[in-house]
Amino acid sequence: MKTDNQLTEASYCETIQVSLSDKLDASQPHSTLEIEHLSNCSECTDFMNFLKNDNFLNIASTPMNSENDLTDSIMQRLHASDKVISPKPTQWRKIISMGSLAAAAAVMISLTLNQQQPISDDSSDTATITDTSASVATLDEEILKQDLQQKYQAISSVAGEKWSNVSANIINAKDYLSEKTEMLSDKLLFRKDGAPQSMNEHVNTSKV
Amino acid sequence: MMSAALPENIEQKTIQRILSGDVSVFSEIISNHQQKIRSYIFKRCSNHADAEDITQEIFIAAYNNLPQYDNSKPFSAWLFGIARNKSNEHFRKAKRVPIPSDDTPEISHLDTPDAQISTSERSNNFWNEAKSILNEEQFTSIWLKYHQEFSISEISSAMKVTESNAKIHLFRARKKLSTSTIINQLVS
Repeated sequence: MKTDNQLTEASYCETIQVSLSDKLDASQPHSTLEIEHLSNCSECTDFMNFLKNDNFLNIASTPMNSENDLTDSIMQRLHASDKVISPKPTQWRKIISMGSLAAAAAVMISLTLNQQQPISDDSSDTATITDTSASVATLDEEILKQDLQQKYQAISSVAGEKWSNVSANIINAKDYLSEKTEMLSDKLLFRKDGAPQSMNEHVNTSKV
Repeated sequence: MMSAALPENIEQKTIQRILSGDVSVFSEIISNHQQKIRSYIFKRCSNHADAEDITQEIFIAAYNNLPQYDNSKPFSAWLFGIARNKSNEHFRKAKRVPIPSDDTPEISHLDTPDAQISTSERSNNFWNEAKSILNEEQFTSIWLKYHQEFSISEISSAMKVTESNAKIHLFRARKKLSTSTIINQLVS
């Protein structure tokens, strides 16, 4: 059993050695306190001499023997995998462009619908929408009404079809976004714990 | 095989070219780093075939994850982070601990006269002993410090620890090495 004094001494020596180690890495000179301690402590002196031993530095930094060049085999594997680099920016650009297109389409459709909606019952508004106010007054009101109703139905049908397509695209875009977000968050969490993995590996793991 | 280390700014340009779609220049990255990476992996797994496989996986993972590389940090530290994770993953999957190398000189060589032991053999013995007495963090920190000549900042980046933790790992590794009889024989 070590006495309290011995423990204190050991603890102090360790503090000095930690400082010696840090200062060696930072290329800083020893403090007066350290120099004084080194002159009295063989253990710390041995530690410092070990760190500064040229043989230690040479042996530890000796490069390993060269082996086969792996460049070709790695490049072949990369080409074989047909992986496109910068997968994330591409995906995000794709998502953003899809979202932008869907949003733009939705705005255009909604504007079209809003413009066409007032023609349903109010004949006075009809004149302004069709921009034929000058001639409307001279035409038979009944014929005009029928004509406008037919046009409205045709437009409504096309707009409805377009709107359903846009809605489907928006839903697809939302699904795609949520899937990618989930995948990214899983990946980021995984990276904190251990090895980073490629997107392909992650997808494969998720599928399993 | 080994090319001279590319300056950091040239390497950054190479990475930008890869990211913009020029896959072929990734071979420059491989040539520049494969020896360092494979040495580390080999020292950890002690098997040439496994070391080659893991090294290939590391570079493929690096390629796949290149868009996530933060170019404000050294590329070599980022690559070593992947190497460390891949080697740990290898040991976890295989559920085995690193075994002593069968093609590196054994410690019995210490009995032969110093002059007969080459620096390379001494180095092999040194790292084999280091692997046997240090834990993974200590081994990696000391390897990065002396074999890769990383700074504390680079070690902390590669090991994904704070600089204080990197210093602690390094100090403990040095302390254990300094008290090892075999290491002391090798460096005396």
